[in-house]
Amino acid sequence: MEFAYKLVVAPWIEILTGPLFFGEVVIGGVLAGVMYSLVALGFVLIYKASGVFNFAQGVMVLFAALSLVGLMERGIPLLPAILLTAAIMLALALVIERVILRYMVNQEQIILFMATIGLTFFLEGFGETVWGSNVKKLDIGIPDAKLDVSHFAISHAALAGIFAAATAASFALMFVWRARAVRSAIDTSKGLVQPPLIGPGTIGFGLFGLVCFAARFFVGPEAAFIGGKASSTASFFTNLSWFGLGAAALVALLTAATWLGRRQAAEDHGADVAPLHYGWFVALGAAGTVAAAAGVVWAARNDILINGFELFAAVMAAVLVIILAVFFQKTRVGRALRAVADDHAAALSVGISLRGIWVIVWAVAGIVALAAGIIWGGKSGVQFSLSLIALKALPVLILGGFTSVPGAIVGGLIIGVGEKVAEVYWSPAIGGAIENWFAYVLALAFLLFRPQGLFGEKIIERV
Amino acid sequence: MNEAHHRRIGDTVLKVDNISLRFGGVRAITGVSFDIKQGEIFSIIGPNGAGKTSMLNVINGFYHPQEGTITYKGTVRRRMRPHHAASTGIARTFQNVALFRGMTTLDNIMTGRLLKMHGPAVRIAYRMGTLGVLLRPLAAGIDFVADMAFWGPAQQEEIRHRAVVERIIDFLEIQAIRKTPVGRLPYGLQKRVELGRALAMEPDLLLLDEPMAGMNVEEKEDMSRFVLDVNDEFGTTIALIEHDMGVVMDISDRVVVLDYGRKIADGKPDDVRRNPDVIKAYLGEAH
Repeated sequence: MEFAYKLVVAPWIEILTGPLFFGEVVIGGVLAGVMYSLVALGFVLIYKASGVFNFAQGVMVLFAALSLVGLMERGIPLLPAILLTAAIMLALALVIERVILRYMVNQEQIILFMATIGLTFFLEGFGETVWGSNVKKLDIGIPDAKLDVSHFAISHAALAGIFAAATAASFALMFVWRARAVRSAIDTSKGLVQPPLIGPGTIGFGLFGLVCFAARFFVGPEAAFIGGKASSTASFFTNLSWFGLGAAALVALLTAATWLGRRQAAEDHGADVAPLHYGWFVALGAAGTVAAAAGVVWAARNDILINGFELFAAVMAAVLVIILAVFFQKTRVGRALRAVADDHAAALSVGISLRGIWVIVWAVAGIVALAAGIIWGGKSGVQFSLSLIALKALPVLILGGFTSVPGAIVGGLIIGVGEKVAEVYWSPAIGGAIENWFAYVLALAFLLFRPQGLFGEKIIERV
Repeated sequence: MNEAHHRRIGDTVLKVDNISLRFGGVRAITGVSFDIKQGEIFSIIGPNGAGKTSMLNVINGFYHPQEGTITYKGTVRRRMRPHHAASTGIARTFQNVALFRGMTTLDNIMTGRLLKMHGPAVRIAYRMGTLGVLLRPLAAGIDFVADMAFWGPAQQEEIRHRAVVERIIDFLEIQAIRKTPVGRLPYGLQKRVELGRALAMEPDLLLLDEPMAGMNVEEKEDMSRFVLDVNDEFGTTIALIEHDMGVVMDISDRVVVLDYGRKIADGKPDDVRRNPDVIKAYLGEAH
């Protein structure tokens, strides 16, 4: 009875009575989850592009971190060392193609998988032979401690600048939308309709920018946007976060309204629904970023624990994901990569060079491994166990789906948060150490109900 | 076959000279020679296991013959890789449809444009041989950054290629399945999409591996019409393989018959039809 109480009732009471602490746990989980995502991302890239589950990804993380530390120990400063390590990962990709993959064209995927296992053992030994096997410390100059907010104070002018930039960006991207509309006109053969250059998104953001400037000039630099006059930095940030949230909500509302209106109009005329343009997403993204950044600073101000290092990891992962998503979805190389993943012979017949594509994929996976190596190495030191985080990426992949970049992110976040929350609130009932197995049990549950993962491609069997 | 068509047939595009191909002890092709002329529809037929697909794979660069030479566009070809065949203007389809199953019809046909869409840096890397392969990731990165910086021109180029693809889609009458993932399409349509992808490469020589295999009579007639139309409208040289003689004889300018890896007949369809060796190969001998 007492066990049942501890399992079912007590944790919820704790959560409800201490929401601030719960928030702290969740934020910690999100930031840790981003780090899992970073490792999972490397797997997804190679799987998407060549249909191979790359068992060596974990060791590539270790190898990258070892190389980076090794170079720094020899007196090379951080930034050049990172660039050099990236070059090493590029060379590694070339060697892997040259020595292994070249002989694997048109082979079964299981054979490629076995080859990556062999690669794992080789890299492990090779890395430690070259750079030594003792535990090393990787210092990248970002303290693994509570965030110190005073460094992050943003002036009103900078804030206004951000919004002005967002406005300009959404305006510029409207041109892209026009190009898209030309294409969709070819699609539907329904004639060309030039979309307007200035939509509600641009106007909305322009207005916000103007309000910012007005506040800056008429009320003074310490102006509070919402609520009374702000006298301290703390309340400035509080207001900033409200402001960002408000902007995000407004843009979301406008977006929804426009989309609904478009659909209605389209239904009336029996036409296809025109796609929303990029301007909206930029606007939404900018508003979201302001809200998130302000929220983080505000939380830190209010003595909610935020780890500066994990925050840095999160930002780095976000930037990496955006670049990769654009690379895979919007470029010629991206289309070639997807082609190679689907069918080797067909890809060859349209003139795609498998060797070239494989080198590109493994080079990109190597760079992602480097990013993960910097983060994890900086957090827990560079040593053999670093390669074992690959095992942590496995449940992330099962959750998110092996072929989805957003899946790797969301999967990582779910596991990070779930792990931390379960550890803190449920360990009295079960007896601790939940963090170690929680991810795997969650993955097991997912395998039962949604084997393709949250974002994976749906498995359709034709009988 | 009208006069205008016959007048268009020009010089030899591809000359196959005394080709032999072995897999270990198995002789797939033995001493086969023929030539394919500009603008004609050329068929390689023969019973199952006659070495037809092996022949196609040799022309396409998938297999490397132990003996013999291939002269393409006037130069003798050395050992080559399949993706080089594509860049010299040879496109092909496969016996068991090889499409990118996860992609839509449109994306599949767009991949046929990939070679023509390479960014400037990658194009330079391609010309540099072995060093180029080493530099390709770097070149791809440079192109990526350039595309982001000059988004407009990149989009314009994409639209231009898209227009070409749309013409092919109209030509093959597959407008309705433009956005359908090809894995879901029936077999006959998949074959048509595969033809579309090959056409998108604007090939000088189009290789079709059993384009009518597994089709019903109506689909076979459709496919024959497309093959003739492609040849008529774009002047594409077509080499096709079939083991079913019926349809092929009607659309081909010239036919080569293989049996057990050897050439047993070569000539106009009517002559080949009457050739006793061919009849023997297809029907067997009376005992």
